[in-house]
Amino acid sequence: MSTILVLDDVMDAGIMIKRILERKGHSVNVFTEEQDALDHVGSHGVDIAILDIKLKKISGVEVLKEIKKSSPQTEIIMLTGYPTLETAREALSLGAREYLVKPIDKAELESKIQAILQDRESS
Amino acid sequence: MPLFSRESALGLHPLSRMQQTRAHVYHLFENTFFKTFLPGLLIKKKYAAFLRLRQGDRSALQLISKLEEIQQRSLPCDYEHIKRLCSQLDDQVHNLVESLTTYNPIRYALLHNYHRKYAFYMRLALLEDQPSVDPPYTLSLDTPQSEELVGGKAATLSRLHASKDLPVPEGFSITTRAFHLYLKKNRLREMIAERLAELGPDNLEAVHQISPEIQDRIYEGELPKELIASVEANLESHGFKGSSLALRSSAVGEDLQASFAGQFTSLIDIPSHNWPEAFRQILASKYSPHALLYRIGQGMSEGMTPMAVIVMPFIRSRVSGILYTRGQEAPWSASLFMVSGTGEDLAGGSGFEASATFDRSSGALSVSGKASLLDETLIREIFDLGDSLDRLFGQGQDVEWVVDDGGKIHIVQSRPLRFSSKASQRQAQHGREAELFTGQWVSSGQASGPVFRLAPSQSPAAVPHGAVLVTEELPPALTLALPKVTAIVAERGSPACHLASVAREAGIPVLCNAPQARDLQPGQYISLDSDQGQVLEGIHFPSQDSAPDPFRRRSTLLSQRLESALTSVSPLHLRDPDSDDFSIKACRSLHDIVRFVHESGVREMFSLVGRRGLDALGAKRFLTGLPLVMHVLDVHKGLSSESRSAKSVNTEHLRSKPMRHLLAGLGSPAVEWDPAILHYDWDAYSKSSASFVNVEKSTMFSSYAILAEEYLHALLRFGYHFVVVDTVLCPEAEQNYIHFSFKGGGGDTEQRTYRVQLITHILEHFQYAIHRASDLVEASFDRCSQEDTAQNLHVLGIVLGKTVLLDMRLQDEAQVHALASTIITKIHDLLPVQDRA
Repeated sequence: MSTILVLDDVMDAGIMIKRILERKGHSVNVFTEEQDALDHVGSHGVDIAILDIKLKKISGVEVLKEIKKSSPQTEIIMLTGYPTLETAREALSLGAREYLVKPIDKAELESKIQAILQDRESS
Repeated sequence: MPLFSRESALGLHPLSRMQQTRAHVYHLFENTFFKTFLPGLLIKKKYAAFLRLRQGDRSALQLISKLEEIQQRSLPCDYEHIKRLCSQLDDQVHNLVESLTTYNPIRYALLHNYHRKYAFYMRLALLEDQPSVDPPYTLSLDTPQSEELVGGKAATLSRLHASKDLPVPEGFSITTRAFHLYLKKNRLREMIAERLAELGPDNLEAVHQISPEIQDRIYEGELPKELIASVEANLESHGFKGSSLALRSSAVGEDLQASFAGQFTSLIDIPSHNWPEAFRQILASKYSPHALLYRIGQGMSEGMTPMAVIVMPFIRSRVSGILYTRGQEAPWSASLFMVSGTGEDLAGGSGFEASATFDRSSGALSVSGKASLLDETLIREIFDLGDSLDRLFGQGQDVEWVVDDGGKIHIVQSRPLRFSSKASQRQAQHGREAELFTGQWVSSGQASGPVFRLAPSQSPAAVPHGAVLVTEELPPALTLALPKVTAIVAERGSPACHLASVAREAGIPVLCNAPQARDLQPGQYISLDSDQGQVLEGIHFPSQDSAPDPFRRRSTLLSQRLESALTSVSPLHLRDPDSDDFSIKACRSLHDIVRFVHESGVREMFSLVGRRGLDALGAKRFLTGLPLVMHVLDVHKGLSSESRSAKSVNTEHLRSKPMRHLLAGLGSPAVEWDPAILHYDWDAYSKSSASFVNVEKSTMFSSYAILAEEYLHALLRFGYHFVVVDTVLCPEAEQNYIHFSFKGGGGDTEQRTYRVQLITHILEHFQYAIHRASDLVEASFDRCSQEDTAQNLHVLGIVLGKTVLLDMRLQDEAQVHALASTIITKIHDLLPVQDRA
C-alpha cells in the first residue's frame, strides 16, 4: 500500500484515478488546486504524485519542480490530455518517472504504479 | 458527461461544445434531408470516405509492416528513415480517423484521442536529445574531457594528457557544441535530416546522391563569429599561431563505441590560418558515403555522432606506425608496424616497411623487414608505452605513434583494440542443394517440422503441435494456430497483413508468395530459413535450436528505441470484430485503431441504405436480362462513361467487377428463372396504395445497387425476401470482403428457418463464415484473393437466385440437407470451383 496524490483541474479525471487505485489498496487524495496539493505534500508526504500538466494557475511541470524540491523521494507521473514532446522532455529531465497521455487506461496506470513500487522495494 | 464537458478522464474532447452541436445538427440534417431528397450525394460522399479509408488502411498496414521488418531483421537504415516512417504512419492513421468520422462525427470523435495518445508514445520513444548550441566551443585537452563534448578520440587523448608520463602532443578541441552551432547557423540540421530520411533499407545506394549534397552545403557554410573568436583565442594561447597544424576528426562514438577507423578525415601540415577550411572538410567527412553507411551499419544515428575536431601541432615524423598491445590468440604478444614519414600510407592500407613483435612474458623482441628504420631501444620504448596504455585502459589498445626528427616518440591516438568476431553461429549449416523453393519474408526465424496442410474450410484448431503449417493464404484466423506451429508457409499472402504482425510478435517464422508450397506432402519434413527466404528439405533446425536466439538481435540503443516505439504501434488487441471489446476504448495501439477504422467503415457501408431504399435521384434503371426490377447508382467507374446521360443501362455498360460476378451467378443456368414472374418488393407493394405505379420503372419497390469499379453495395428485394450484399473486389486480398445478409420474409416461421438453414449449409460449404439469428443469416468471406472472392460472389449469386426463387415447401431438416447437397453439386458442375474439402 502506498500514498498517492492526484492533481488534475478536472475533478472527473481525479475521481476516476482514485477509484482505480483505491481498488488496488492505495490511499489516494485528489486535488484540483495546485497550492492545496503542494501543501498536502509538504504536511503529509506522498509516495507517488500523479500530475496533470494543464492546471488552473501554474503548469504541472512547475508543480513537479516544487515537489522534487520539497520531497525528492516522491515519484512523479505526468498525465496529460495535451501531450507535447517539449513538456515530455522537460518533465522527464526534471525527474518525472513517466509521461502518460489521456485517455486514462486502467491497466496502464496500474502497471506503471506497480513498477514504481517494485523499484522502491528493491532499492 | 463527456458530451457537455470539454475535458474528462478521456482527455480533451476533440470537438468543442459548439462544434459538437454543429456536427450533431449537420449529421442529423444530412442523414434525414439528404437521405430523403439527395441520397445520391450522401452516398457518393460516404463512398469517397470509404475509398480513402481503404487506401489509408493499406498504407498504414504497409508502414507497420515495414517498421516491424526493420526491427525484426535488424535491417540497416538511417534512424531518420525510421522517424519518417513513423511520422507517415501517424498521418495515415489521422486520415483514417478523419475518414471514419465522415460517417458519424460524434460516434467516432473519441478515436482522435486514442490516435493522439499512441502516436505520441511512438514519437516519444524515438525522441533524441535536443543538441545544445551553447558554449564551450573549444576545450583544452590538458584536462580530462567528456566524450559528449570533445568526441571519442579527444576524450582519450585528454585522459592520456592527465597521465603526465605519456608523450602526448598538447592541443585543444573544437567541441561538438561548435558542430551543432555551425549546423544551426547555416540551417543545415533540417536539410540533413530530410536527406538522411531517404536512406531506407531498400535505398541505401541513394547515399551516393545524398552525400555530395550535404557535403557541398557544409563547405559553403559560414563560420559563426563566436566560434571564430573562440578558436583564434586558443590558437593564440597554445602558441599555434603561424605554425603548421594537424586537425583530426573526433566524433562522438568514434573509437569508443565503434572504431570508425578511417571513416573520417584527418589533415596534417595545415598552416594555422587555414584552420576554417580544414574544420569544414572534417565536418563534411562525417557525410561521406562510406562514413554514412558505416554509421548506419553500427546502428547509430546522426544525432548520436556529432563531430568534434582536435587541433594539434603538426609533428614532422621520421618514422610512424601502429602498435597493437595484444594478439588475438596470444594476449601477451604485442606487435608493431612502421613506415618512414607520416604514416598515411600505412593507415590507408598500404604495406609496412618493418614490423616487430614483443613477447611480454619472456621479454623477447623480434624485428623483421627494414631493420634500419628504427633502432631497438626506441622500439622497446614504444612497446613499453603500449604496455602503460594497455594497463591504463585495462584493455588491448590500437596505438598510433610517430618518432620525430629529434628521435622523440609521440602518441597521437589510442583506441580499444577490436578483433573481427567469428562468423555468426547462426549462419545456417545448409547448402543451396537442400533448398526446395523460396518465398517472400513475412516474419523472421528458422524452424523445422512436418508439413501440415490446412484447407481453408478447416478450423485452425485442427493443426497439430510442432507442425510447419502450409496454407493458401494468411487469414487472421490463423492467429489461433500460432502457438502450436513452428513455422508457416503460404502459397500467397503478403507481409502487410494482420497475421504477419502477430506472427512477428510471436516470433514464428513465416514465408509467403511460395506457390510451390502446393507440392509439399503432408508429413514431409521441411525447414524454413525465412531471412533467407528459403524452404529446405529435411530437418536443419532441430527444435532446441529453433528457439529465438537472444543474441541474434543487435541490441543497440536505436533498436531498443524502435522496439519501445513499436509497443504503441504493433500489438493487435482488437481481434474479434463481434466481441464487446471491439471498441474505441479498447484500442491500445495504432494497429488497433487501423483495424477498428476498417471494420467500422465496412459496417457503415453495409448499413448504407435502409430498408426503404434509395430515392430515385441519380439512379438509373438497370436491365439485367433477368426478371428483376433493379436500379443502379454509379459512384465511381461502376458504369461505362457512355452511359452517363442514359436513363437506363444494361449489362454491357457494367464496369463494376463485383457486380459482374454477382450477376453472372444470378443469371447462371442453375437458377432457372421463371420469366413470367417479375421480382420486386411484393410485400411493400401489396401494403402500399400505389397500385397505379409502373413497378418496372419505379424505384419504389425496386432492387438497388451502388456501384464502383471495385465495390458493390446491393440491396435486393426479391418477392418477399430482403438481401444486402456489400463487397470489395480488387487485386489486394487484404482489402477484399463479401458481407451478406438475408432475411426471409415469405412463409411461416418454420419455412423461413428452413430456408435460412439451406443458405447456411451451402455458403458454409463455400467457406463463408456464418452468423445466424432466427430467420436472419449473415455471412462473410474476408481478405481472400481476387480470384476466390470473385468466385464466391458468383456462388452467392447462384445461391440467391436458387433459394430466393424456391417455391418448394421444405418438409424437414433432412430435406434441407438433401437439397443443399443437390445445389452444391450443381454449382460445382457449373463452376470450375476446386473442391477444397
